[in-house]
Parts: sequence; C-alpha cells; structure tokens
Amino acid sequence: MALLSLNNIEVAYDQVFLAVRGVSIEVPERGLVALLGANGAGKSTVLKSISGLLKPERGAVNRGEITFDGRSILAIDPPDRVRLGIVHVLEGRRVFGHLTPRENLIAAATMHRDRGHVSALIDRMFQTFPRLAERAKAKAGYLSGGEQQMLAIARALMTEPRLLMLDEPSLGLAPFLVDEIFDIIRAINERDGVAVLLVEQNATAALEIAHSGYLIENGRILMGGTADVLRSNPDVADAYLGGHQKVDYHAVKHYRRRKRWLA
Amino acid sequence: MSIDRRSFIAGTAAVAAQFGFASRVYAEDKIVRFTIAQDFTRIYTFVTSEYNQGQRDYFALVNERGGVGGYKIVADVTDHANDLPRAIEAYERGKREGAVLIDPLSTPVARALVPRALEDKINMITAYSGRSDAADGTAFPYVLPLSINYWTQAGLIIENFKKTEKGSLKGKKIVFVHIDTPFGKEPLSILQVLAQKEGFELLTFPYTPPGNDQSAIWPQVRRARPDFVIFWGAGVGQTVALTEAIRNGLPMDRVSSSVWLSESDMDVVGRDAAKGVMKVEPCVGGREPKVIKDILAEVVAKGKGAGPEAKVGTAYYNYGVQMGALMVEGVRLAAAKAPNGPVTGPWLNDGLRSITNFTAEGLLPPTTVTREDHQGGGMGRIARWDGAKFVPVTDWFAANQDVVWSEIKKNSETFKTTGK
Amino acid sequence: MFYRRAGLRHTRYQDERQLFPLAFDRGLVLTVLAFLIAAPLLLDRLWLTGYLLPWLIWTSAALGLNLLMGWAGQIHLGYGAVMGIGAYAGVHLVRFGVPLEIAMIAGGIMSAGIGTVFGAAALRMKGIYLAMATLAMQFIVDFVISHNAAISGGTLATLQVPAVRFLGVPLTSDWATYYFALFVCFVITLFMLNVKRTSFGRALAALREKDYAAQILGVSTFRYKLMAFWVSSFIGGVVGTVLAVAYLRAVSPDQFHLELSIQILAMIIVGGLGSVLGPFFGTALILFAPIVLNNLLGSVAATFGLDLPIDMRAHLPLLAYGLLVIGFLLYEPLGLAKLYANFRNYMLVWPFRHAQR
Repeated sequence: MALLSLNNIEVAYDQVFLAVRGVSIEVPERGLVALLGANGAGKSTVLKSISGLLKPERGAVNRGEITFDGRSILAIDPPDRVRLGIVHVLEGRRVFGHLTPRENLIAAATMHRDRGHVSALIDRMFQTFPRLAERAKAKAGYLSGGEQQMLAIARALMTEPRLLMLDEPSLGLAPFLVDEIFDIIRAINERDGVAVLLVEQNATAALEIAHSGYLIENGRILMGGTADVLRSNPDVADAYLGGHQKVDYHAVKHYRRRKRWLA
Repeated sequence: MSIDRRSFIAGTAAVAAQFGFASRVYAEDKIVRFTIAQDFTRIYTFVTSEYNQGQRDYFALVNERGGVGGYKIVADVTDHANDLPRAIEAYERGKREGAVLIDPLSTPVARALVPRALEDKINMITAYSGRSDAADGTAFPYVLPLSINYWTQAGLIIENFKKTEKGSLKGKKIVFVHIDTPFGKEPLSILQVLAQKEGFELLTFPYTPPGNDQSAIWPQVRRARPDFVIFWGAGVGQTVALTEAIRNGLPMDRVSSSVWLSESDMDVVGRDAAKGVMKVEPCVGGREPKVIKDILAEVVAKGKGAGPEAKVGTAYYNYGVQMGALMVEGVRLAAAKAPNGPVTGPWLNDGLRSITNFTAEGLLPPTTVTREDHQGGGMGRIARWDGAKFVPVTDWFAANQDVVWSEIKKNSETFKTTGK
Repeated sequence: MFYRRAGLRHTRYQDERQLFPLAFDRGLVLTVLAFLIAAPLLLDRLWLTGYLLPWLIWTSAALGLNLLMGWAGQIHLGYGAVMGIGAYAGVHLVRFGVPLEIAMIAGGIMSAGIGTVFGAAALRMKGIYLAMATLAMQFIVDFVISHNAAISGGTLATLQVPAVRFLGVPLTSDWATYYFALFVCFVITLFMLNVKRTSFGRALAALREKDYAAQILGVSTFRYKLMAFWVSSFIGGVVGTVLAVAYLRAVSPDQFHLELSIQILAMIIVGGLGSVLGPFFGTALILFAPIVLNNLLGSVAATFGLDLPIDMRAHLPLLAYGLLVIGFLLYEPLGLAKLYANFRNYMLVWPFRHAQR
C-alpha cells in the first residue's frame, strides 16, 4: 500500500479559480517520485494541498481525498501533518535569515522533547551537509543559494519525516550544485528510507534519480509511470528533456513538435 | 456564497423592523414629545445615567398624575455616544417624529446642533454644557441652558471666597487647576476680569486630559501657598484632582469646584478624607425636597423608577429632576397660553421663556427665564461636603452677573455677526 | 449570468480600457448614481441629512486615507488631524470672505503641506514605527489647534461657519449641502478609480509591495512616498472643509481627535484596503451599524414591552456592533469589498462552479 495517495483531488483558489483538477498521485513507501510540469501547471498547488498550506493563499481542496499511511489528512492542521511525518521544503528556500544554520535546525526540532536526540540529529545533518558545518556560525541570510537550499533540506529532515516533499530544489543553482544536491536527495532516500516527492522543472536531473514520475499540465495529470518509461517517451523528451536526443529539427515535420496529448 | 437565503431574509426583516415601529404611541392622549438623546457610553457616562434617571422619574411622576395642562410627556431616550453622526441622526429622527425639545447633555453635540435647532425652531436644552453664551436669548432663541453656566459658577465661587475673607480678596492668591481643554479654560476669562476687579492674584495650572495623572502639578500648587484653590474638570479628572489636593495637604475648606462633584466622586476619593471641600449647587441635593419625596412615593415605590433606587437624591439625579421640572413647567405655561396647541417648537419655546420664579416646590433657586436671559437668573449656592452629604453654606445668591453678562454679550455678538 | 461576459467583443481600444468594461457593472453604477442624484426627491430629510450626507463625507475621507494605506501601503494614524487642518484652514478663509471653492483648495493645500512634512518620516520608517510618527502628528496638531485661541476661535473654542455659496448656490438648504457633498465624493471616487490606471498609481502599488524592488525599477521612493502623502492629505484637507461646511457647521477641536482617525481607519480596514468600493461599504457599517442596532433594540424593547435598564439598553447595541465588525473580518479578512468581489466572481461563472485562471 502506498504511503501517500491523492485520489482525484480538485483545488480552487478563492472558491472560483480552478488550479488543479482530477489529480491522483501515489508515493510508495521508500519511493522517490518526481512530479514534472511546466510553469503554472499546478505542481506547487499539489504539494501545498498535501502539506496543508493552501489556506493562507485562499485555496481549498474541494473534492477528492488525500490519505497518508492509510488515514485521511485533509482535516488536519499543517503542524500536525508534520508530526505525522510529512515535510515540505518550500520553493525559494525560506530559511530564517537572521538565525545561524544551527539555530535554523534547532527551530525545526520543536517536536522532539529529547535534547540529546536533537543534538545527535544536528550532528548528522552536518555530516550529510558538510558545507553547512563550515558555515555553522554565519547568519543564514549570508549563505549562498546552494547552501541555503541545503539548509532548507536539512531543516526539513530535522523533523525526521517519512515523506519529504521538495519544491524545485535546483532553482537558480549552478549545474554542479544541482548534481550535489540531487546526490544527497538520493542518498537520503536510499540510506534513511525517506520517501521523496520531488517537484522539478529540471526533468533531466529529476528523472535520473527518480524511480517513477508524473507529468502534470494545466492542472491535470497527463502521464505517469516509471522513470524509464517517461524518459523514453518522445513527447516528454521533446517538451522537457530539451534536445536530449539531438533531434534534427529540419527533418521533423512541424506539427510533430506539438504535445500530442493536448490535441 | 454562503450567505444563505434564510439569514438574508432575517437581516432584511431586522432592518425593516426598525423603521416599522415608532415608539409607543398614546393615541388617546395629547402628547408633547422630547428627544432625550444623551451619551451613555462614551465620555459623559458618569453623569448621564444619573441625570437621565432623575429626568425620566420626574416625567413619570408628571404622567402618573395625569400629565400637565392636558398633555402627557413622551421622552424618547437614546444613546448618541457623544458622536456627531449619531447625535444628528437622533435629532433628525426626533424632529420627524414631532419632538419639540432635545436634551443632548453634551458640549460637542450641542455646538453642532445650535445652527440646526435655531433653523428648525426646536428647543435645545444645554444644561451645564454647550455654549456658555447661549444664555443670551436674543442671539440663541431656541437654545436654552436653563441653568447657571460656567462663568456664573466661577463668579459664585469667587464671591463665596470673598465672603470667607470678610469682604475683600485684595492681595490673596487663588489657584485655578483645570483640565487643558476648551471646557477647562472657559472660566479663565471671567477669573482674569475678577482678579483685576477684586485685586487677587490668579495662578493657573492646566493638566493634560483626561487627567488620570496630575501628580506633577499639585506639589507646585502647594508650593505656591494659595489662599484658595479652584479645581475644574470632569469625570476622572475631578477625583484625581481631589485626591492629589488631599495628599498635598491643602486645606479642604478652602478648595472648591464647579457643579461637577457628586457623592460618587466622594466614594472614590474617600468620604472622610474629602471632608470640607466645596462645590456649586444649582439645586438642592438629597432626598429632602418635596419633589424627590413625591417621586419616591409615587414612582419608585410603585416599581416604576427608571433606575436603581439608591441613586435617587444624588447630586446628578437631582440635576436631572431640576431640568425635567423646568421643561415640564415650560409645557404647563405653553398649554396655559394656547391649550389646544398645536404642539410645535415655538409653542413650547413661548412657555419655556416665560418661566417666572419657579422653584419646583423648593428644589431650585427661584428661576426666571426671559426672552433675554436663558440662564434663569444666575442663582446658585455653595455647599460643603461633611463626610456624608453636601451641606449648603450659603443661601441662594447671584454674584458678579455684570462681569458674566459682559462676557456673554461679547461672545454672542460675535455669533450674531458671523453665525448663520 | 447577470454579469455576462460571454459574447463581449471589444473592437476598439477605448472599449477595452473603459472603467467598467462589463455592461452590468456600468448599469449598476449608473443606477446607484441615479438614485443618489434623485435622493432628495425620494427620501425625507432624516435619510438625507441623517444618513446619506455623513455617508458621502466620511466615504470621501476614507477614500483619501485608502490612497495612502491601501495603494501606497503607508500607515497613517493621524488622518483626523489632517482633516482638522483642512477644516480650520478652510473655515478661517471662508470667514475672511474667501469663496468656498478657493477655501476648499487652500484647506487641501494646507493639509497637504503639513501632512507631507510629517509624512517625510515614512522615508525612514515603516509599519508600526510610521504609525507612531503619524500618531505623534495627531497629538501635535490637536495641541496646536486647541492651544491657539486664534485658530480654535476664542474662549468657547468654536468657529461658526458663515453662510457660504458653492458655484453660486447658497449652501443653506438640505439638498444643496447634499449635492455639494455628492459632487465632492463623486470627484474623489472618479479620481481614485483612475489612479490605478496611471503611472502614479502603479508606482504606489510598487512601493506598497516592495519599496526596494520599486527602486530598482526606476520608481523613486523618495518622490512617490511624499507624493502619496501629499495627495492623500490634500484629499483629507478638502474633505475636512466639506465636513465643516456641509455637516458640522461649527468646528471645535474635539471633532478632529484620535477618535476620528481611528474611525476612518476602521472604515477602510472593514471595507477593504486598496479598494474603491470598500470605503463605501466600510463607512456605512462603521457609521450606521451602531445607530441601526440602537434603534432596533429600542423598537424591539418598545414592542415587546421589555424594561431594560438604560445602561444595558445603551451598551447592548455597542456589543452587537463589535461582534458584527469582528464577525465580518473573521468571515472575510480582506473586508466587505472582497465579500462583494467573491459574490461577483461567483456570479461571473454561475451556473458553473469554476473558472480556469
């Protein structure tokens, strides 16, 4: 049975504006699932509906069901969802700029009562992210973009989640940093058994590490399958993997470039 | 949308309801309607509920006895919260329902209503509030204070000091502690004129409104070694002033205030500590006057009192009875002149302005309202707190009215030339 | 359904750029305007001077404050003082025999000048700190007015407004003052509706969202913050004069205290920050809910013969009023205008449930 399953959910902002419709997603235990899609496709909305952050943006899940570990979580507050083991790394990092990395990590440990456990967790984070250990005394606001992203992930891991949701971790990062971060994500998934739901624009990088993936467009899931299947799909390759297969565009007829599923 | 039909209908019905019902109509009686819109919730609260209770108890007494001159009094009581839009709404509503008199008991409201009342010919009672120069009936035909204004009160206080000093205040030092608002500064002009005339030295100490903290100025007052102290404020400022005066060891029998001092204030300050302090009394306090006894017997005893029985006979309660009695006397005289009405503003105005030597069976000083003098003669007396009640130390008297009237004329002339 | 958008095809740029592109909105606005113009014929004086007149004047003031708080995002707790400056300047000039039209503008300029000086604090301060600076303005202006007999009008501290004319019409009858206030409110509303469409309005919006982001777009924060204070205070000053001339008819310092500032602030918060419609709703609720509730309780008590003690009778409506305001804000934190917008959005797609953004 899947750890997380979204069954036919529909999200509308302001009661009227429909953002996501008929989305069904499953994340298995210890799975690493990628959610791919263009800008404004509804990826972030899906993540927010899982972590419960729609309310401040005047959105609501109007239909469908979200179950985590077999129980419905729609009626649960965001902080309590974290206690269940769902953690969401927001797009754009959102680290606490005036605190040091260590303080950022401690801030995420409110659910742990045991101090020894907390410091053990912090030590483990610094092992996983050695760059953070180097900058442990600087203010988080002065960290570089990649370091901030690492801090955001580390902070999320402090809650000891069962499901880690990442919203565009590669945003604005240099390619070698993207590789580094994706390696870490894979390591976390394999070593600690944390299920990961990864939202990405960078489909190439995402599909390299993901076990399976979904394609979302205009608020609907268009395709789902294992990473291999997605990678080998010519439409996905054209639309998201950008020239991966070195297509000779002079040879293709123009209409081929349209996404077939939209027709 | 989640405003469902039921809540919409309920809301509409509720709004419609307010326009549907007028207040109780006495179809069989001839009535005179008063709008009693006062501030029960904002600034004047400390006075209003007692004042209003007295007023309504008196109207109840009159109506119990079958009315006056064939008319019954209908008083529409409402709260204007010292807020102008609310007060003006209440005024306009009263006017539409045929009210011929309004008693706002609030200086800001009275000021804003002056041009309207003059224009609409509706009698506005401004007892102990509003413009002091409204005493000039030639400039303000429809604005009737019917009570001694602050200039007169200051004149009475000074005259009493003079009596204490056996007829001369020359070389004496009088301190005037006042709230730093137009209301608090109002007596200054009279006091300055009197200081010149009587030859005393006047020192003034303003405190910032609302006067919760006056600890900075009272030591200065003590150091000035005054012969007399006048403190002038309203509400919390009064009790704080008195407390500070006591703490700084000023002799209580040489401290005096205006009409705004009551038994409730004494409870705050401490009944014994305040022994000796003086105030101006515009009417008799306590339950001794015959009118108050009648109210107790005919209204309160029958369970028709407008408020708690304990308040009957307190200073502000009696002010209310005083004003109620004057209004009703106006109705009586108007009805005597034109028994069949029609009941209009001018009809009542005629009655109010021909009140002559009215004492309400010993409650007030002899009061005579004329077309020129809306103050009613300017008589009052000084009373002293003896630890349990205010005991009069003088008889009814009027003093320094020449100075007061020159100030009244000065201001009302300006109003005549620049007002509408 | 009612606000039909289907089949709307604009063929000229003017059509698309008009204030109300939807025919239904245009009709609604025209109907309300027609009603307001015909009001003196339809309603009796209680409604005209007891409700509509203060509604128009307070709404005009709230619109002025909304420009500063809703559009430019600068908090102001001393708007009552701004109006007071305008009222005193205007009334003094009118008493000197200056025509009302000029006195109004002069009152506005006076307010704008003093308001901008205090607004300069906004160049360095934000949020709660700016609130304190403008609060200081309120108290300083209060103090100066009530301690200057020359300004406040002598011992009685009351300035009577003489009989005045506006564009040749003497403002003595009810309908003349009403139309005067309606005219001023109309002009200000029109201005506010159009501000959004100008570069000035967009600069203010940029300031509100992120002032340093605005700066790197070439919007001078220095200039536009001061301009926001200038324009808003100018409107406040003009409305102050209108308030004095058309409604109060006698000005005294206590009319422009902090209570007025808070009242107007409440109007735009309850109505909806940054909305033109909001102040109209907010003013109606803040000004009239206490009156309506009070009368309602009075008539209910009279009908059912309830004998409530007067203190209870006076305080119950205030309690209900407080609950009403909190209730509205809990239900829709963005104010009454947003409530209407929700309804309108719903009707725009009705009978369907959703529109795709």
